[in-house]
Amino acid sequence: MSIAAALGDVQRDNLQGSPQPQRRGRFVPYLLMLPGLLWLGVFFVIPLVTLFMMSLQTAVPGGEIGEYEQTFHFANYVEVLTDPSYYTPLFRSFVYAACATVLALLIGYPLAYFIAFKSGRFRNVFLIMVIAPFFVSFILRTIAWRQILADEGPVVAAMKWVGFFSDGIGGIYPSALAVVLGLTYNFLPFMTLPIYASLERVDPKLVEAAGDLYAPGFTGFRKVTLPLSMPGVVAGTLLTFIPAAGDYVNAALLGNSKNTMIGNRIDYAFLNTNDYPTAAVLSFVLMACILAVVLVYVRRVGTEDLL
Amino acid sequence: MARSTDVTQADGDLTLTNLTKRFGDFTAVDDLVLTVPQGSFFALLGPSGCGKTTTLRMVAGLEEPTAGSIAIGDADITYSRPYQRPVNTVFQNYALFPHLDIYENVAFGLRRRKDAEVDRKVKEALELVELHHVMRRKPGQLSGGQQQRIALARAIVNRPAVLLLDEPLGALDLKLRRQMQLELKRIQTEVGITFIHVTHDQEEAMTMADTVAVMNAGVIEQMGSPIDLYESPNTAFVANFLGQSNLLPATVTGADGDDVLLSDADGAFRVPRARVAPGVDVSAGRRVLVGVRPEKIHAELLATAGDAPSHGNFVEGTVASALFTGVSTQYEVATRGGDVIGVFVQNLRPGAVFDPGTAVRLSWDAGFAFILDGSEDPNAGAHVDDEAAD
Repeated sequence: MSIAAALGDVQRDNLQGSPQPQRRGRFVPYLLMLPGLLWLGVFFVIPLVTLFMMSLQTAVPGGEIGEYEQTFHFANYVEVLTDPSYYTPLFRSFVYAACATVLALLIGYPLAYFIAFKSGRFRNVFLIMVIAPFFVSFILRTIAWRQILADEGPVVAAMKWVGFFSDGIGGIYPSALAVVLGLTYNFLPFMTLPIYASLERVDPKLVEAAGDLYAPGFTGFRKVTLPLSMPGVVAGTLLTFIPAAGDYVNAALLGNSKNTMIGNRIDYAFLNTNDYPTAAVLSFVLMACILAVVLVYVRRVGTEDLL
Repeated sequence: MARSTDVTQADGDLTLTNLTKRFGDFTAVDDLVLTVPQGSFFALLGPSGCGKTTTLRMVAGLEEPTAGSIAIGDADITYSRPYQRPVNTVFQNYALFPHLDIYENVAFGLRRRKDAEVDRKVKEALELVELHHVMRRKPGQLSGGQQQRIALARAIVNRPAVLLLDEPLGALDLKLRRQMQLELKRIQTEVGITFIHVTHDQEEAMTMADTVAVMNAGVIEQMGSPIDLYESPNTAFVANFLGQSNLLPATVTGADGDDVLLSDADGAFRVPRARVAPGVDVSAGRRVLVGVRPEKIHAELLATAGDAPSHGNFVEGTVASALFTGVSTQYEVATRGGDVIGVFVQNLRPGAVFDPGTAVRLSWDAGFAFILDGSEDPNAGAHVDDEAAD
């Protein structure tokens, strides 16, 4: 925003043709962009290039395990892409992430709506409650879900009481359901907060105006509030889906070997078999898949603010 | 509640009967009785917090009355939902839907009601406000004045029996406001819908409305045509809120034919009995307020003025301050009797006429003065913050 404003100033100065502020103003926008560019360079571009170089490495002939030399062996990609054992975990990652995103949206939207419009003077309390879990480690919270979903835990007990499970048969942990629930739980704040931010900006007068123009209640919500909160929904779903698709902690802690996600395979290749090139290739494949899904999604939803 | 008549089709005069709204201990609207004739341009004028916006919101159905009833023609709409009433609102700051273009904003109400002629009606409404060329733009791309007119078109296109306007021109600058006042008046005359216009701007109310109701502290102080209210205010609040007034405490000394005779420290006055506010006792010895509008006062240099007029109605004093405003100069004159009187003198010649410190004589025609109840605060309504939003 400030960069755009600074650029605007430069243009105005050019129009006025006053040489003094023009010279001073020309470098200001670049100067302001510098911290951002440095950040992107150090924490995004350099690691990305390093990872890409790693994906093209080959094992040193006769070397130890984990010893690789820099080559440009693009066949690494062919090798991974033609190995069917990666297809299922990759597919699973997207299905789990999609399920978790939908669940998080179903829980997060009403929650954000409640906080934005109905929480009154307790608004800040509720917002803190949404953020509060961040004060506890991600791993610890996920392990806690093991206890919650365990066969002896409260959820299974409640389900047995209702008659959903019979004694001795059925359980939630470990299972795909447990993984999806874990993902949903862990990324819920990333869904809730952007939606809250966009709902909070919706002028209540607009809802009144909708009521005045024959769109009361749910129709007004559908025609006015929901469209105006779409930027938040898009941001929230992306912030949930992208990390969820690459997640491996939830599958590792709440699933079993039948619930392996692509993240677990990357983790395994990196840390257990020290197969760095394969891990790097998998990372790029995952990145490309996520990018493709996101592009299609954003085009479909069509929020001009994002693309 | 049995509803034999279809309220959505109601038509006729708008009647408020004993309408009351309380928020906890605070009475925002107090036992309001009001009839707005069908097709009139009606203004509810008052300072912030006087209850005018609450009244409007009750008519719109956005607020439920604590007591009393609202009817249009024969149909009681007191408890109807906003969308059931033949009432539409032009909201303060317009409340245009930012995600829809101008066409869809105007079409919004028609589409919800499954109107068969959306396109024709929308184009007609945009034609009416002379903005058909911005049809495909978003509200954010329009100027304040254009947004105002779109808000009007969006409400009018539904052909309500009553159109409510909540401080419609409050966000516009002075020049645009003047222009929109004429525009609103033209549109109202053209469509013939009852307009109820809520404002704290007395000039806005007077230039547009057929009838103005001055509201203060939840009640209507006085209602009438702008000229009636201005020339014959019934209360100190109305006298001060609509324009400016000099209200001088005086004592009734007697009567002379159709005139009431009075005196104060500055001299003797007379005011026709017809100019006494209703309900004010003008028997000899009563304390009253004598009111004169600043522009009705004639000021002359005391040194060159002739003999004092024998009929009274003059005071002598010294110019305390002079404020040159272009068209006129506004003087404050400190009288010998200790009052301060405001005088507007038209600048018929270039420059101000009197310098501060000059001794002047102020006089006025007896028929231009008026008499108010002596127990009223002469400053009521004079210093209300008329810029604050209600």
